[in-house]
Amino acid sequence: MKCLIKRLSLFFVVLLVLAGCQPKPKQWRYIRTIPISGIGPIGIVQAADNLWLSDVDNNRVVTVDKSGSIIQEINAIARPMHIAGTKDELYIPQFGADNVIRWDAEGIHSIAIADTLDAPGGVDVNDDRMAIADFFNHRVLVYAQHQSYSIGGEGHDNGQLYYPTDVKITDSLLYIADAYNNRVEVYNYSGKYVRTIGWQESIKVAAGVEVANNQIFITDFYGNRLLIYDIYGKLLYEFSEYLDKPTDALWANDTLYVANFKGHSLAVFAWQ
Amino acid sequence: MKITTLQQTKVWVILVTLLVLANTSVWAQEPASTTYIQVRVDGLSCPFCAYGLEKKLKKLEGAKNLQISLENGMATFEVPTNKKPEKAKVEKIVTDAGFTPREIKFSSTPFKANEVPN
Repeated sequence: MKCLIKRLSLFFVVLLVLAGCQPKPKQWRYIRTIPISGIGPIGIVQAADNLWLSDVDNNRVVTVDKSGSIIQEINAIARPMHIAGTKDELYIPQFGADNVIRWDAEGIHSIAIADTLDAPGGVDVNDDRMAIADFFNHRVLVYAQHQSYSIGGEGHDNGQLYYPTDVKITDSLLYIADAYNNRVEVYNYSGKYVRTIGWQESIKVAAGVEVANNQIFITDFYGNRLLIYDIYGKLLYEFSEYLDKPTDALWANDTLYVANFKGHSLAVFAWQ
Repeated sequence: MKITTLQQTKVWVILVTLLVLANTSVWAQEPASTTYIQVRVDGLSCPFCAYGLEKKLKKLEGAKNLQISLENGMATFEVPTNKKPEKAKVEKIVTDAGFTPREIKFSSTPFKANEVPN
């Protein structure tokens, strides 16, 4: 009998140890806030291993170190909004000048766009594709393989847009921050509407969108929230602390940076 | 070719007349007066809205020194008085930018910094 009790005890101890060794499922956790005094950030991207921010109030784009100090700045940009970055380039929509420019180590280059923009609020690039959120025209322009087409049009139904501010391109889909419809709209590369994300969460201006790690991140500007969804639009997380008029989010190496426009700060979350 | 005294006199008269006219027109011009315009709208704390309104107002003929205050929800700018826009024109720009104008004020003197209309 004693032997049986010993064996049972040993079995439970081993079970307990094994249970303790089970890896915990990853989740988002708040880590810290980086003050970026004097910067009113709209867009945030990673390019050439640095964090770049569009500072709309001061007509510049800056790169900051991990303490929030400015390392480099590109000045005389007319109200830069949601920027895009590649390994060694930045794409900057000039909201105040109705164009998109490209910046690299050699300087600023204009991009020829065979259409008339009215306040471009966001741009994204992916290989040979470029998409531009055309704010006052309530559409997104897509340039791909020497052809272009327009998505949206003013309205509130699925497949329509109302003051879009940001766009992200993945390998097969486009995600549009349909700001004043308070949602994100998803389209395929044929320009066909796929689905809406965030319509149930009473978002108050969907200012920015980020897509990474099979998750969709929406910054709710007036709602002071960060909403995280799976790719089908199921809400996974909602953060309302540490945010002050958030405008954009950036996923980089299991870390999420959220740009606080009014808070003049970056809220940092880790996927752990 | 010989220039006569009469011709010389005519040339001098023309030159003097031109000089007088030039001076008269310069001195007759009063310094260009300025009209200051203040626009107050709701919902201007969104940067896309604020700078969108800024972009639209800049298109008004002669508009310069445009300042947007996200805190106070105001846009202020100035135009030469001879290019002062009708209030309805400013209202239309504000409406087309997606806002409902709350108050539009015209003044011959600059508005004080962060002055909020009553």
